[in-house]
Amino acid sequence: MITALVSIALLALVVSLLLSPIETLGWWAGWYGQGLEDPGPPAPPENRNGRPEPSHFLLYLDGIANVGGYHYHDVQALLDGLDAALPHAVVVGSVMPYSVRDVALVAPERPLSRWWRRMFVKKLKRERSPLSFSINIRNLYQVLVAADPRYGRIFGRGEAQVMLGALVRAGYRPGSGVPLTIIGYSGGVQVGLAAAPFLRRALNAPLSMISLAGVMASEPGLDHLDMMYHLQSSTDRIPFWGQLLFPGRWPVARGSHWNRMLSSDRLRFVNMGPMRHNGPGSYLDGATVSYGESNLERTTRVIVSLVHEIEARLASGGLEPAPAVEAGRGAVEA
Amino acid sequence: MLGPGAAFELLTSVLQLRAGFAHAVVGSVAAVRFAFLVLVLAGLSEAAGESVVLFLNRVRPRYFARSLVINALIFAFTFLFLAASIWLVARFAFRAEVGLTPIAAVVAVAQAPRLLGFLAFLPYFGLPVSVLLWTWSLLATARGVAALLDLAPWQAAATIALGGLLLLTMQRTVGRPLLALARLARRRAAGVELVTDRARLRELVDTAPDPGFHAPRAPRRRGEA
Repeated sequence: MITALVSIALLALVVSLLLSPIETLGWWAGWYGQGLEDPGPPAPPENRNGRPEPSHFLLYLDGIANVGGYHYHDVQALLDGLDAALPHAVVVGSVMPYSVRDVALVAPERPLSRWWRRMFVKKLKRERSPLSFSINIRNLYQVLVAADPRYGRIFGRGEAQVMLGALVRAGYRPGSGVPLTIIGYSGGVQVGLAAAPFLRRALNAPLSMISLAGVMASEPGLDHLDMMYHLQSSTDRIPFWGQLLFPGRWPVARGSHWNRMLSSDRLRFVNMGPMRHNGPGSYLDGATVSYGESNLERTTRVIVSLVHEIEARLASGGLEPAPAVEAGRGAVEA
Repeated sequence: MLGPGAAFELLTSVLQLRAGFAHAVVGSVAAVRFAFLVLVLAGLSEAAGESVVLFLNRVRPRYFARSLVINALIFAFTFLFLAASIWLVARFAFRAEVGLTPIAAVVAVAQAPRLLGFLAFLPYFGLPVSVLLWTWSLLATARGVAALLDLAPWQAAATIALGGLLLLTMQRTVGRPLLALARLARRRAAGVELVTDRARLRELVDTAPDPGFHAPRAPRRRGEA
């Protein structure tokens, strides 16, 4: 009985992994209709409620527990904290990082939307159910799609369009040169890196990334970043899996995008102290307090200080925007 | 056709690289037919595994299945030509007295590992799986050819390598019309001008005229203005 159940579970995992590139490839092939709509003109200035014209855009890409359309309380608290601490910046958190069609898992048009909704409710209630982990597995597979050399470019292009649409709706004016910083959490970093070459081409503006415990491959997108900060706790083992799984990040892969980034001055590591990847004690946990501040407060504070550092470097000319290059061009394969 | 038990036994022998499969597959007409069925199904599975090319070319769903079948047939014919090349090398280099059909049957059934070729579609893990299956079927081919022709392993490897070289040479010389025919069949089945080389496939995604704000446009079909 147990053997049969394990076999069925394994089969389901392999079949779902096999089907995982279909959304990206089908979108590219036009199988889902016309795809994304033109995002239209940028939001008018009066939507800023009297705040000054933004001088920086922050785009948040959530981790693999994301279902799209909604944020968990801790993620929302981070976004609110950033928004309050950076009044001159616009924080965009509405992107579903694991769907090139920008369709939430809980959206009615998805055949399994009822399942995803039930699993999402379980997660919100903090029920410890292995079934609710299916959301993470589904999105983890999309991270693998983004890291695949055959599918990653299409995925990156699709996600870049989703991100551009969200940015324009939030008031970003393409060609304005306003810097963009992607804040990726866990698998969201891989998604951001896959989209980076296309974002760079479309925006032609300074592009940086703050990786919060990011799990990422050695991506050509690294070449398109002006600056990258990798925030990680020594007690969080999840990012090390990325280091293990993706050979381009191994030290022997000299000349890989990652190792070239490592040897440049464009990558900085930030030790976050003892924190877990998710759940209680995580980077976004507002209840766990050490050294007089909660994990959430510390993470918010560190990100805010890094945003200020990026802005200072830009102002001093120490962060020259790399010339816009066509996506993937001139990149050395890992 | 071969019974399910015998078919399973034959497939297991190939997958386990047991030398006996070579004599088993040429032992009856039913086994030979089964070998060719395995070849076509392996081709179909490989075509599904490599279908990213069809997606990249934005092949419509109704042309998709047709393209898979055509690709499977081209796969099967390619291996039959490889078998013919191996047969020529074996006959003239090693004076092996064996007919073309037994060699073709052994080469065909030795592609059994590629029945799992659809696994190449797996994200990230698909490429190493594809290499593994390719190596597995190559070893099975070498094992089968060695057993059938009673050759030493190095002789079997040399026969297959020279056969492959001969096939490549023929493809670039007298086989050009056949290659052109295969390309035409692929294009007709897909309903679009198929881009297959890696550099141009990358260009398809990278060098679109828009800056990224628009959805990919449907490709222009043959016959459309």
